[in-house]
Amino acid sequence: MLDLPTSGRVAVALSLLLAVSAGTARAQICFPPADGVPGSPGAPDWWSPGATPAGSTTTSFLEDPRWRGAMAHDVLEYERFRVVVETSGSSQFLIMSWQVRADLNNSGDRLYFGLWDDASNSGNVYRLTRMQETQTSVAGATQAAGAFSGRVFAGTGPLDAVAWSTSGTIPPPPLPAWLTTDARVDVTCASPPSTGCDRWAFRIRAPLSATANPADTAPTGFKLTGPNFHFWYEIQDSATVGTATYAFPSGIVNAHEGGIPPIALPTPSTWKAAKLGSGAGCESDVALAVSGVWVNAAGSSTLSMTSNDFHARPVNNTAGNLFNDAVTARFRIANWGSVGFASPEWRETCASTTAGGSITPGNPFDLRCTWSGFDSCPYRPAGDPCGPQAGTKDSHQCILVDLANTTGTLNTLVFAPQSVFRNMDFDVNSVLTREAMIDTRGIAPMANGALRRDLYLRVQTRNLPARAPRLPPIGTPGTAAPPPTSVAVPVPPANEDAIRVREIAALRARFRELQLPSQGTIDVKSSLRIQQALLEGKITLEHVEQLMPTYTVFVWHDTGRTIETEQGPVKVMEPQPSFGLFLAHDGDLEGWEHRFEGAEQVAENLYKITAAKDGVTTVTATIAPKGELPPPAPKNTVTCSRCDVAPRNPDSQLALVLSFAFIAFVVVRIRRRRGVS
Amino acid sequence: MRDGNRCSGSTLFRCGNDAGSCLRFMQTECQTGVCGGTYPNAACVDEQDIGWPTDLGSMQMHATGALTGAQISVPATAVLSRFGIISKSAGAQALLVLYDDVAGKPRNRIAATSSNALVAGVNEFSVVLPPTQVTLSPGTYWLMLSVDSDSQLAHGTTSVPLAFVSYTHGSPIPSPLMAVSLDSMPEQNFYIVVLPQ
Repeated sequence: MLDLPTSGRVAVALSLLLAVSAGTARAQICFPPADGVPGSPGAPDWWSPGATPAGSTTTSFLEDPRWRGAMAHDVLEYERFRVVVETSGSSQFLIMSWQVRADLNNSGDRLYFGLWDDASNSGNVYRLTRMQETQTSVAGATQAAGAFSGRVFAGTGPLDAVAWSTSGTIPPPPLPAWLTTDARVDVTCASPPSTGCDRWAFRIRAPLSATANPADTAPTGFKLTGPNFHFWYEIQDSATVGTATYAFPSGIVNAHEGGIPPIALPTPSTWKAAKLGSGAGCESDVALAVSGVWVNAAGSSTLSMTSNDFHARPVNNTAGNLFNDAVTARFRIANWGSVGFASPEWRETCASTTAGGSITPGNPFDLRCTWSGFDSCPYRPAGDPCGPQAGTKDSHQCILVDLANTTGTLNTLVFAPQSVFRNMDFDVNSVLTREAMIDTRGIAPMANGALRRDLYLRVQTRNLPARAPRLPPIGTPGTAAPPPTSVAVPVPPANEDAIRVREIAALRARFRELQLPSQGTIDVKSSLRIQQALLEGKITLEHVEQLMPTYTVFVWHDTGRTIETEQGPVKVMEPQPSFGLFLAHDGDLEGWEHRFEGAEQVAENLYKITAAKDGVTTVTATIAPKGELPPPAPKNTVTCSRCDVAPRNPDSQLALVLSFAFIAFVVVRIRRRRGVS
Repeated sequence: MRDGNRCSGSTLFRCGNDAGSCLRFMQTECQTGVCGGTYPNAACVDEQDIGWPTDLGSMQMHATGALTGAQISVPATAVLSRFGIISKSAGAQALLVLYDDVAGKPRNRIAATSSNALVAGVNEFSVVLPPTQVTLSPGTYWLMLSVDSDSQLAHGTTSVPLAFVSYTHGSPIPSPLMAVSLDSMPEQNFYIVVLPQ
């Protein structure tokens, strides 16, 4: 049951932060066959003439339901890789996609990906540079259209001592046909005035071939002569403030071109061991998705002040039955914000208790525990008579779940290596001010030993235009309001508002069951229907983001490391948990305004904090209908939801002292007048 | 006139005392035709090379069929005098083009040479396009090259950003450049010669 609001002004929170800790890592990951979905078998197909994404609610090939069952790797909410294996006649292809959901700064980003054939001790790495900067169509952009360039690296030698080479010809030789014809770049630009073209993806169909020659200037595919191979990728999202890197496997050296030596790629012995197929022997015996974690009611992350039942429902991915008590879950909670998984901010609640029975393949466990007898005062609203701690924590909490083989068993189950992360609240606003904690505690020390580190925060908005698009009133010549939940929207005059209104109506019409208004704001009732559909698994958080005003803050911290580039060494940054809001609003509004405080603005929608290496900083996001944004907080004042960690305001301390002095002075005067000695 | 130098057109006037404390006055016609600076520090202005004019010791194979190039930075307003390139082999025809920089890529053609035969060693070619004098504003430019056959050209070993675009040698020089690809290459021994203003 969902903790639904009793009035239109009450927020419903879904604030899930979830990480699945891998157990003892098994040697291999598996690239599964592309089974597709009923009615649309096979892999997502974007390369065939006239291809369109499958599914009525699908607006891109990245959402295509035929990715079902893909081997996936996520770096928090920032980047996602997926792969399935397509068989076409006697040929096999890796169908792969990489999505970057929070681009730091324009194009020039690099994707390295490599496959090493263990049997032949040879392989290739491809480096693609994204050059597409503008919004792409559903089909995506090709190399011929200038969407990307690339280079091929060939490797030979033993797994742990590979020599890499690349053609020294200038310019580099043309890429192989399978990249020039079948690869696509997607770029997504939010509606103005939000954060521009801040999402991008590569989609690649790479042939697997026993006869491919890695030494060719344009290999006909990845050479694969045996069952086993090693795989690696790294994304370098370049920006003026540094380069954010996302890699699989993580924790190995970064690729670089520039400096000495001019080319360096991680040795394949550090890549991920892999094979084609699925089932036994593959990593991810047990997988957990964000929708499988809640407290008290499905989808809820709202605490009860008395007793809380935590649930985790990971799925048995093995081919056999598993005992229900084979897996345990540990539940922790933290306030809204960017809190690293190793931060002491995470509060232990409880660990799942054992239960009998067994779980058949493909079905979920129900790992649960009850947390009660805790001091609920911090989670109660400020001013609650329970004490001064009231209001220092939010009742909407992020939830962190760690899965493990149950102690004392001989299980060696491997849990999904992907981390599934959410820290998004649903909220309602007229004027909404939310504080968030940016926590660097527990993050690896700066590689250069520095005691302070820079953090960069990127505010990304969706459906939060400063001026909401609107059609002229019904009756205005040449216009008509679009009918509710209908795709067949009359074509209004060709102006930007009309185009945008038509796009919104068409998008909402794809989700008929939600009964959304064809235009205007998503009101509270609509928001509740969206949340319910999310809980029931009918839509995804990505769909919610398309439909609702969304405010997300992505956070990267400086690692103290650098990588060499053609322009010299640049800072390496790593992501830490993002956080955000889905907003509903009753009634019409002209548009939205938002402000981010507590950090130095260094570029449009990009902010910087210089924090102590183990520090907590509070930032404030304010979102309001246009014209209602309150003035910024005066400088030298600090508002905080955690007064145990926030600095005190010296001005207010002085005021307090002066107040006491004045009161004492008045009391003394009165006593003297009354002759009290 | 007090001690010091002063320009008048392309002529430098120098005034000062010699060893015998006699006031001397000298007049020099600047060889480059440019006298720059203000009293008392005026001087004849020399040409400057921008790019990589000194042989860096290595070489790379350049393929025909593309315009390839690297970013250069012009620090102050200057007149473009010539283009230069160091080749390790003779025979190929080379075309050098200067483009402006838009969003980190070459975009609009500023000036170009004709197609000239390379000799082994230093080659300098005059500006033929446009036929009028080209004054460069301070900023970033792209120096691009096309060869009519595969050629070994002088390079260094430090990587720099490379821009390239498909181009058939001998066809009209494209402007604006579209579908430019980015990569990297070792520094290339090519340059422009400018006369600061």
